[in-house]
Amino acid sequence: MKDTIGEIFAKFGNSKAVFKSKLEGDSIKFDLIEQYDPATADLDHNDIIVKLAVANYRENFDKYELYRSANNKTAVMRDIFVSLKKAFESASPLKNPKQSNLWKWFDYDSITKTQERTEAIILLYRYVHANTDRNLVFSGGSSNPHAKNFLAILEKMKEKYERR
Amino acid sequence: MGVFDDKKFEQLDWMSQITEGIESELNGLLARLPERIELDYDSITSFMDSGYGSPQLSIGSVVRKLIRIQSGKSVAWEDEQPIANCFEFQTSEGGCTLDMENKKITGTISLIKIKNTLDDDFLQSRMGARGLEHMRNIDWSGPGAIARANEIMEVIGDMDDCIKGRSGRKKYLAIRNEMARIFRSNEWRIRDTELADKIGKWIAAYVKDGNLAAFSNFCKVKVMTHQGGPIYSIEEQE
Repeated sequence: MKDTIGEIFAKFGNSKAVFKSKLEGDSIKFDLIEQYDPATADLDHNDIIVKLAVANYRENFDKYELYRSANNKTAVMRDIFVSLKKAFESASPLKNPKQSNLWKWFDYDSITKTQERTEAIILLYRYVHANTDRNLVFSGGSSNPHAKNFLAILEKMKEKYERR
Repeated sequence: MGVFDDKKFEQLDWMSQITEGIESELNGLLARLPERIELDYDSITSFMDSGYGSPQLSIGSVVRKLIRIQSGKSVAWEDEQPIANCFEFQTSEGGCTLDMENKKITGTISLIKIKNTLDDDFLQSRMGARGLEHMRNIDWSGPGAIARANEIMEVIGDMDDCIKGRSGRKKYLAIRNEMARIFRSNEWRIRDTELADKIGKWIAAYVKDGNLAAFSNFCKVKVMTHQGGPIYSIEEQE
């Protein structure tokens, strides 16, 4: 069982708030001596979702709480949607895929409102990632069996989750 | 003692009387701020700007908090920056290390006063400005306000065109602009920022509800301008 995005983010650490002062004009800047690297977290760094989480890792500083990682799940999901839309364009047999009802639903109505729906989107992303090239394009376009699968899965998701 | 005597001017030493330096409470405030302050860990973290980027300490933010501690109130933003310009930071050789995990600092950060008075050019530019702000918040078209605004314009002088108009707002703008010009050009030779700030308040008080003491004080200042000397204070009516 893979970690959820929330569980992945929970495994990240934070920078230690130890700074070196630097005089700059009329202010003193405090630069971090050692920035936390999320690539050192105890996670499977070959996993595509972990990679996305690492790429979207941010930490916030305030003088009371010091460094805290920003739980940037939304940014990860945004990246997943952008990738899936790109895959959709290469998978669709239509001349203008963006005119299809499936695209319109996916574009406007596929918001991850529930955990189940989020998990479904992530699983679909993993499937697409495993069966496309580096640019998330299905080789052979719509004739690729994985592309057909992808569209069929999306259709099923539309049937299940579409707002009525 | 006459009604138009300037007690503050008389108390100045001869050099100050000749140079007509500007008296300002901001200079008094600057004098009360410490010459040198070494910031310990707690001060640094309390003065530090808390944002989401990397933390920093600006002279402005330290001075702002020192002013609040010293005088119990804050000063206008426009006044704060020139006061901050009278200070500079000094750190120990090679900088210092701030360890917020263990709440300690290695090395020193000090704030040092490098100027003891504010520039006259700055004080002249701010002369009366805070007082004129008071004029904005009153009803210039209320009962009798237009007639009283006309009286103010008569006292200021050379505002006949505006007296003829009937718009309260236009009268307010004309008075505000004319007074701002007078302060900026030092035409009335008012050399005390506190007195200059009171002028706008007196105008507002008289136009608002006919406060005669305020009008009397305003007229007194105008009469004193005809004596040709610098004005530091008047004998005010409460």
